[in-house]
Amino acid sequence: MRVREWMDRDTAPKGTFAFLDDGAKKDVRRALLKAVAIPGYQVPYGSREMPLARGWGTGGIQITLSMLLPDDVVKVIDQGCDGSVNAVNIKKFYERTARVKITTDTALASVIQTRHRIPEEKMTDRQILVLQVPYPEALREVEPSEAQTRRMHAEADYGRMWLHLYEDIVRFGEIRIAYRYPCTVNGRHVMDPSPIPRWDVPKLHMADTLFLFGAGRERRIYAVPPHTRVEPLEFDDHRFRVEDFSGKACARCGATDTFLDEILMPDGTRTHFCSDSGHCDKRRA
Amino acid sequence: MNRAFTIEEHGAFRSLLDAMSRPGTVHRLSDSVADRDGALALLARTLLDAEVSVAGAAADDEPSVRTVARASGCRVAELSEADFVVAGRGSSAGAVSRVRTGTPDWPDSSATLVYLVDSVAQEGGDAVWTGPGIPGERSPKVEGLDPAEWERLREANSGYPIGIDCFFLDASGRILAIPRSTRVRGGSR
Repeated sequence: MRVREWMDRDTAPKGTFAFLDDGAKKDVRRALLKAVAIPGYQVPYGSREMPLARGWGTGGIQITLSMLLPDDVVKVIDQGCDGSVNAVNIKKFYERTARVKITTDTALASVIQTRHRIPEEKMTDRQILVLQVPYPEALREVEPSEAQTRRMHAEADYGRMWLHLYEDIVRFGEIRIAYRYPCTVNGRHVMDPSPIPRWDVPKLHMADTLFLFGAGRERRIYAVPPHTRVEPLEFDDHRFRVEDFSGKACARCGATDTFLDEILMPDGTRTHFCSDSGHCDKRRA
Repeated sequence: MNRAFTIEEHGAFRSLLDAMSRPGTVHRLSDSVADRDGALALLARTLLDAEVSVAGAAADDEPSVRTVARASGCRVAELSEADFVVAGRGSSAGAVSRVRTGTPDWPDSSATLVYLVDSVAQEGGDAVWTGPGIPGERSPKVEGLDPAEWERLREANSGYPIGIDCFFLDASGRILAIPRSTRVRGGSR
């Protein structure tokens, strides 16, 4: 059998719906319900082996597989792009094991799985965003021990995080965190919003959408329910701010209100393109 | 494993997730389940297996405990050990103060309560719910629940994030949830 034939063979009806065994799904589901009930708190779960290596989205994949429905329309993005190898392979996996429809249009999707971006288009209360998370612990920068960070969350003892931000200001005049910007969720837990840029952090605050976070390698699940306060850590005289793209526009669709990637062109000049490829395509259509 | 069963469980989970994410809203676990026992069994096989355990809040909850254990294969445990607790006839009979509420380091290691009640509605209650998942406020109505339960739950959830999360399952198989993060103000039901 040639590789192409092997990949195209019809395997779905023979396998389990949505790949995972029942025990794995139930474990993830129980963790998800607890995660939603304690917004921003990291719930441990028994992350299973997946057909791709940990660190390639296995946390997000296990969440998605535990809840997919045959009539779901799924969008998968990698750093804003629908067409990256990782995103395309994950989409094919869902198509094959759960027979779901695939889309690149944010508005048409019922479930969106993402690595490191939140779509530009505002999501609704009928949609769920699943975020892939490499490092679930927001306090890891200031404390290497898991036992200690767990204690710090238990006691809402975030003094060292504040000190970390303050030291940035003293040394550099501003908080230098470009992505994984720490946020307080529901006025209680400090949470790592995954490596989304600052641009996307305000989208988590009082949203209509449910956000689910899966860290497969670190075996943690957490969540931000809709209509929940998500507030980036900031000081009175050093407020949180998003990236500044003033004077720049997407070279492809002309957008001036999206998160832009800076691209080095073959001739050495620099230009900018939308990071959210689905949104950019839609504007050009 | 029967594929239709598996897909029904996926659908039931989406309803449970929706209910917990939006406290006070009413959901149906499956179009084909319209009674309390059927819904309880479906909830059990959607979430539970031999890794976790169930207990009844009172001695006469034994039939419901059997329904859950038979549907899911989960273990039956003492009240103080159980991961899931079924409170039949709308009352925990004070069991709320004896179930696991988690620890400061691991608040997720708490029991989830399932109350069997007469009916649930998104509106018409006289208490005001606020918190995550609720735009502004909601006043859901849970009929057939012992009014004393609200005070017991308030007590159990006073040390957030330690606490318990509850589902209310009604006679026609509809479900409504209240996580520990919801604050309940005033009213007796």
